[in-house]
Amino acid sequence: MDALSIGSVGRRDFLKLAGGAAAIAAAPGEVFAQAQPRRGGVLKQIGFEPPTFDTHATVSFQTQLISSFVRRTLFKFVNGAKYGPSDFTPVPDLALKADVSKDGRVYTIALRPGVRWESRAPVNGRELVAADVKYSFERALKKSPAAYLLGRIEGIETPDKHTVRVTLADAYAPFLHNLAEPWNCIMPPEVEDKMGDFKAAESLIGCGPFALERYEPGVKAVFARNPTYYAKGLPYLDKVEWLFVKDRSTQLSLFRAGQVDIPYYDARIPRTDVGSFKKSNPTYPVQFWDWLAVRTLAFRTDKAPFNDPRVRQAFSLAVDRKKWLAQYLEGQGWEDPGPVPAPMREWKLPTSELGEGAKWLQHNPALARKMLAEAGFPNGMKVKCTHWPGYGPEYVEELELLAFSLKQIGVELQIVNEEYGNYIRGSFLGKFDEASWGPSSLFTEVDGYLYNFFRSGQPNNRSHVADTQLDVMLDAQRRYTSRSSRKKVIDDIQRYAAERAYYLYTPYPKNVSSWTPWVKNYGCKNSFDRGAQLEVVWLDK
Amino acid sequence: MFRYSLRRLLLVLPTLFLVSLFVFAIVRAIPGDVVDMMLEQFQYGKSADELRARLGLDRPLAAQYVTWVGQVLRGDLGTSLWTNRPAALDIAARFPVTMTLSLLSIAVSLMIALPVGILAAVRQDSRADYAARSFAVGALAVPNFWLATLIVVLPSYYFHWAPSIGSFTPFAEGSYAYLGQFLLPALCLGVAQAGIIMRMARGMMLEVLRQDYVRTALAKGLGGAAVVLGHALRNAAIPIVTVIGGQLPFYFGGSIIMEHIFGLPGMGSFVLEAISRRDYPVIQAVNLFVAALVVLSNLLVDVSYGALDPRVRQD
Repeated sequence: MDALSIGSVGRRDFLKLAGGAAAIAAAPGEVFAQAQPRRGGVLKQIGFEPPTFDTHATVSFQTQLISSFVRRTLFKFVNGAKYGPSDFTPVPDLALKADVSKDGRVYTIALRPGVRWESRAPVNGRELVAADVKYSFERALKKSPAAYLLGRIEGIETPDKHTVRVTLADAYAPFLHNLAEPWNCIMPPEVEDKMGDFKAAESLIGCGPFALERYEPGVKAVFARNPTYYAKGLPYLDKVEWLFVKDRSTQLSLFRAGQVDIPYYDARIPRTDVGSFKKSNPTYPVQFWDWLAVRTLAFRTDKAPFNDPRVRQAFSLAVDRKKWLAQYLEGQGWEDPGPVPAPMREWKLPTSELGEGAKWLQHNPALARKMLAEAGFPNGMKVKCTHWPGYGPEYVEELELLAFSLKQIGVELQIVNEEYGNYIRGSFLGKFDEASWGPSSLFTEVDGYLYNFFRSGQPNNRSHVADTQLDVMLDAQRRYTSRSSRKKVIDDIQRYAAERAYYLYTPYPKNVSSWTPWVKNYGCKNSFDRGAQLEVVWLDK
Repeated sequence: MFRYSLRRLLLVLPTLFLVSLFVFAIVRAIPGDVVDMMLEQFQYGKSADELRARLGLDRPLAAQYVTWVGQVLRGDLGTSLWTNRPAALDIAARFPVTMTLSLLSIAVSLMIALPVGILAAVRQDSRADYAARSFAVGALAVPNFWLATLIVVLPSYYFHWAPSIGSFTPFAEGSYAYLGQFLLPALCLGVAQAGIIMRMARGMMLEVLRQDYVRTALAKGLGGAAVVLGHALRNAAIPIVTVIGGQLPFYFGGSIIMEHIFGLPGMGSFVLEAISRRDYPVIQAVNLFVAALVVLSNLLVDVSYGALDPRVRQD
């Protein structure tokens, strides 16, 4: 067996954590003895109504959020107030541990014995077994748009009912980490046999901390504590009401009035409302925290004018990142030149170590204008930039700020607002004429911000990057099972990407969140696993 | 009266045909193809051609239209491309919410507009008249979504109170609780329309009150209230009924915004989601259903003319 990295944790550390967390799950009362968690109560949180309940049929985070209350994964990330939002230390969930072969290709996963599905048809409380895991993996590989995040799986075996052996074609560093993502949940085959698919709310049957008690279309989903959940004593809450209130001002009003405990799916409140919240609800905690999704201006680097690196570098030189952060974001954010988000500290290469590429991250409009002139645009240029304004007013302001920056070097950014359907199936996937601006998807593993953005042929490669040298490095970082070796490659990728400026990463703010003061042990998390997040939360009122 | 009603009813059929044609065409004119969306955002099929064929979207538009109309005539409004649920099921679940909100809004409009309009007409150029006219202009000028937002936001800021939103009580679980959750949105929606109806009521009453038969009735010694409510109001009512009938689409449209702000599970959010997903059968079903309702409401308005004015019956 070889050392294997899982996020920032080595394999041995991971196995230790696995054991420790198993103890936590078994005796939650001891772990939180000082905090004295209370059982009971109904937590109301603003959520989303998903387009489908089938996590394998969609890329929608709304489906992952609601599914995670009920359907669980083999591993999960640590949750609770004492852990950071980007602490992706994995702990066991439906699995107890995973052993990895020396070549990093074979994963032997030991399932937690005695885990039972809900006590209702068609599963009727039977035990979760290896065949369920095999079925779910095979279904994900066949149907999920995120299947590529599992690597190239050659075979899945079930030597006994509590063991699953997965063989990969190549070593794939993010494999175990990605088993903790809620889209990778384990689902019972009987449900698909009986209902035909997992689209309907009735198919939401699992073995997680909560069970779906009621689904009212357009109103809410109510989850009740699962009495057969494997972690005795968890969850603390009796129920969670996941409300489908859509209007943002209504959401915030309900929160101010104490009618909901958490005002958004990740507890976010608008940055501009922080002052008024502190005034109207002074006892409510307000927390700034690191969000992972980066903001990028993507270019059509496969055609003129953005196939000329000088043009892209000039764009980058136009942005005064320090001023942006200090004045617009009032210091609550990141200059972040990308591609690795700044909060991923274990992977992020400081600007000072980016080498030649660092100079394109400075603010130098004079040089930018000169480079544009050398590239054949002495009088500046007009660029059409697609965008979905529905991301919210803060995003629109940031885009306007970017447009203002570019105007200083003679570039007129013509903003083309798109309707969501067109944006998400077009611009978000690189189908635009010149440029497109917006936030990225949220990835909890660094590979998501590298491979997806830069590997040729990837649907999320919005800038149409086709760089053989970069492809080699991107493939290599996936194969290195040693964290230190992988880090070196990822450092090289960051240097290389900074020099080529395939994307223009703009500074981005920290999130600001709030919840009612009686919600305890809530920890903001860069994840869509709400089930794991809320199973350790309790109400003190 | 029967022949009159029948004649009006027959006119409905070509109108509905044109509506169906328009709805079918306009849905497909929205930029963006549902097949692309299903393939790229969701994994619903292997290829665009295969998926298009499976959904029946590979056939000529005329053939698709004929199939759809045939289904509608058999009572089948179509099935969602995404969820495989019959659109009629969702409409049946959500329509009562939108209808209740619309009817209550109309009731609010009338409860405000009629007394105020009559009072303003009877006391023309008095302070009451000026106040009523100012109210009408104000009600017309204030957007209903702004009023609704204020009603939700301000009490939460100053008094830590907000209307009960985020839970919905079906009618079967309590009629008072059911109706109670519509009061504020109906008020917001009704006030704006009250301005229009109040102006109409005032104008018509002023005209009618100057008629000879009103003067005769007063000369014969009938009380003012009996003359105004028993004789004048009935004759002034026809244009008011016309306005209300014509405003029905507004009430439906306004309901979408109110449902959004007050978290009501009506047709508004349902159809908006269907549009964003290009769910053609659902969009067609909802639009055809609403269009048919509007056409029928206009028919009812026409028929009510006959009830209100015997001269219309004789025509």
